[in-house]
Amino acid sequence: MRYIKTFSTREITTCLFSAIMIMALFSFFFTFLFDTLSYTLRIIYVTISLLIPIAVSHRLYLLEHKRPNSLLGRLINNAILSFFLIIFSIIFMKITNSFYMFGYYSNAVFFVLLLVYASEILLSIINSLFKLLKWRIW
Amino acid sequence: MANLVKSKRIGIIASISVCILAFLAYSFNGRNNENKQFYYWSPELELSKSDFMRTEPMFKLNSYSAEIVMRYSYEKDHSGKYKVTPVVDRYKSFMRTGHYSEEILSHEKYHANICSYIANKMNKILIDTIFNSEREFFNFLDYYKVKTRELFDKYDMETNHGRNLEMQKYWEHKIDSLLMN
Repeated sequence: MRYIKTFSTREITTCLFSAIMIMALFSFFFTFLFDTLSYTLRIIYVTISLLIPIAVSHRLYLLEHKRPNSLLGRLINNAILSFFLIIFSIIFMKITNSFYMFGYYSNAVFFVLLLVYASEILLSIINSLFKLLKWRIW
Repeated sequence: MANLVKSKRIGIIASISVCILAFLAYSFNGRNNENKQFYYWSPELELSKSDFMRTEPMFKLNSYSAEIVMRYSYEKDHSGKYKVTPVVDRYKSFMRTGHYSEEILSHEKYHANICSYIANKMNKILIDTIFNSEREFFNFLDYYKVKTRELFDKYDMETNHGRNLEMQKYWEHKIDSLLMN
């Protein structure tokens, strides 16, 4: 509930820039790296390019609010991030005439939500490992 | 003042990000041209799995195993006469994973052949026709697009989307005969 009480444009701009960052990393990947990287390296790159911007957004929340984000806050945060990401990815795919990769709008929504929330679960696991070492990074 | 600096900073970051995205989109577009979206169709050609480039719909569970999307391309010569050619839209055609079979490919091929037949029919009329305006030609084209749709629906209904093999053979024979005339 504290997330909703303190909710402001800062949260939206953080999500917006995280979405732009993810899009930049992904488009760089599809433009320059896709043909050169092996299958394993592709998966590593995609995972990292999703984890870093989301972790950065949580880190910024911690710095701005002097407290880590709650579970509900993170879920809402990721929903906003997914919203921007869906819009950006659809625009990017439409401009570059590569929308056939998504195929349908429903596929795009499903893929993005799946990727973002799967990354969040992975980040939570990493965070609990950091907690064991008494590190509070996000 | 602090707010002004902050908004300026956000503005600069946003502009740089948009420029980077635009540059990447431009580069990606160039790379993407290697996989052509369209190619001219003729009945002698064969479809392959790579012609179905679109990702399958994940939430339309009852839809078909494959769908080929055809379009009509046209050109106008110096005498003002039009010529229509069917084209395969590879980016709009999909085939479900694990549903690949020769029967499905053959069924989809005859969808494309129906377009060839309609295009031949149109070209026979277009040889002797000069349109007063482009609008008139588009109306003509729209009429035949509707006819194509109707024929597609009839073909799909009677062959049960290629599942009824007997009817599929009958339609193949029928379309081949129409193409020969």
